Amino acid sequence: MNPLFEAMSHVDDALIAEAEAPPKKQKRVYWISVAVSAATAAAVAGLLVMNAKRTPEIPLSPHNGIVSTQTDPTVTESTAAPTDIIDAPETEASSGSSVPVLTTVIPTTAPTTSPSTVPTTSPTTLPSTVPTAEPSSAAPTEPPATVPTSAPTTAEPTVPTVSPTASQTAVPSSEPTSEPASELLNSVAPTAVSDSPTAVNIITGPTTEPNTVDEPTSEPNTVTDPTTEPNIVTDPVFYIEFADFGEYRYELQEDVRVTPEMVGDALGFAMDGRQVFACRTDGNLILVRTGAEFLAYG
Amino acid sequence: MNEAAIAALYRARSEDAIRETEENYGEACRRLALRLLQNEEDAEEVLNDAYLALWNSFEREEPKHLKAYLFKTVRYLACDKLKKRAAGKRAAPPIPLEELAEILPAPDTAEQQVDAQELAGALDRFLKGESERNRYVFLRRYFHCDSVGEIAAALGTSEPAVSVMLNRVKKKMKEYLRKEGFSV
Repeated sequence: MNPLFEAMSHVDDALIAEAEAPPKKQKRVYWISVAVSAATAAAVAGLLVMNAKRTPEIPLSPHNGIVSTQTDPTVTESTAAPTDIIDAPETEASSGSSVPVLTTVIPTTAPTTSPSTVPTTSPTTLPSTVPTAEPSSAAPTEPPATVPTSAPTTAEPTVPTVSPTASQTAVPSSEPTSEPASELLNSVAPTAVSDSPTAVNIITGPTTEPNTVDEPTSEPNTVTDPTTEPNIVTDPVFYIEFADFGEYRYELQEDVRVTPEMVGDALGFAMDGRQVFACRTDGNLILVRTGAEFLAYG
Repeated sequence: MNEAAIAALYRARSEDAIRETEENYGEACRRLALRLLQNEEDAEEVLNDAYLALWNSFEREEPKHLKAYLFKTVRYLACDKLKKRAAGKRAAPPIPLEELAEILPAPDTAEQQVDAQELAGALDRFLKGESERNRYVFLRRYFHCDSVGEIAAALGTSEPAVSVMLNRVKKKMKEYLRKEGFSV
């Protein structure tokens, strides 16, 4: 008989009793691993939250796309058809920049102007046809041929549209009001159409206030000719709800009331977090989205 | 009925204590005796002797672990019967004996006789230094004479894994006994 086998009969009772049931499988908890995993998860979550809240501060550059359109309160999705977009790649003459920039020009027509008589705005003429340069050309009787938007000074006095004079007086192109706007005005040249807005929902402002005379501003040229220019010089007000450009749909986080005085101002943020600025190229109010694309126009 | 209740019956010197012991632990004890003796009559005889030893133990000193004490008694009596068998004729040893001979071979001479109590003490110390899992595997195999497959099933692991564990424990035990002064 093996002595070890015999000695087994004298093992401590506690050890024998313990061997009655199989030991529970030990689940080793590596606290360090758990802590590292938790910290990593928290860091990732924090980064996600930070990214969601962070505003992309992309400086405006000449490469940013700009929409240059004439202001027209009656512009709707149906009127602002992609067929009105003109593709005319060329360089900016006034700014001296030869960098081709992708822009989209969406000329709109006033309600009183027939489509046949309204020429589409050529990007080449945009810088030179700023109404501020030649106020007389923006007269109601002889609207400039290169400016697509007709100033409804006489035809539709009740509709507060953006007249060249109004926009000119509000923000003279010769005197840039703010740095971003001036940069955009000087540098951005609508050379080619890169994208076409399929739908821009712009709700005009107080259309029911036809005869509201703006209080005299500090600029003396608010109303140049009272006889030819009726007292309907109202700031164009646009409520930008959304702008749908192809596969992208941008929505401002809040309804934005845009006035010409807001040129250069940051209007808010698009749904993708990018900042939206108001800008102007040819006397017309536009909205510029930081980055490469425009957002909306007015 | 749990162990404490059965112990209470033994303390009360109630004959129900034997019946309850048979109902609760009889099958396990009979299986152990059968594995060691490989004879039902011998196993039944050992079992009855174990019940009697348990009954008498409460007159002297109450065992702390009733079930463990009963198992040890059965095993001791079975080993004693095996010894008597071996003296008369050479009986087939229980399976674990050969494996344990790898650790500590049977003495050939009287001088090489090992004190069972001393060896049991060393065995206790070694096993208490091992993990619970190693203790379980070792005792199930060499105390209860369970097969490797039964141990693997109880642990939810494979037989090779249990064999590896057993070999490691045996190797460590051999080294331990050598350090303790046993001639391994």
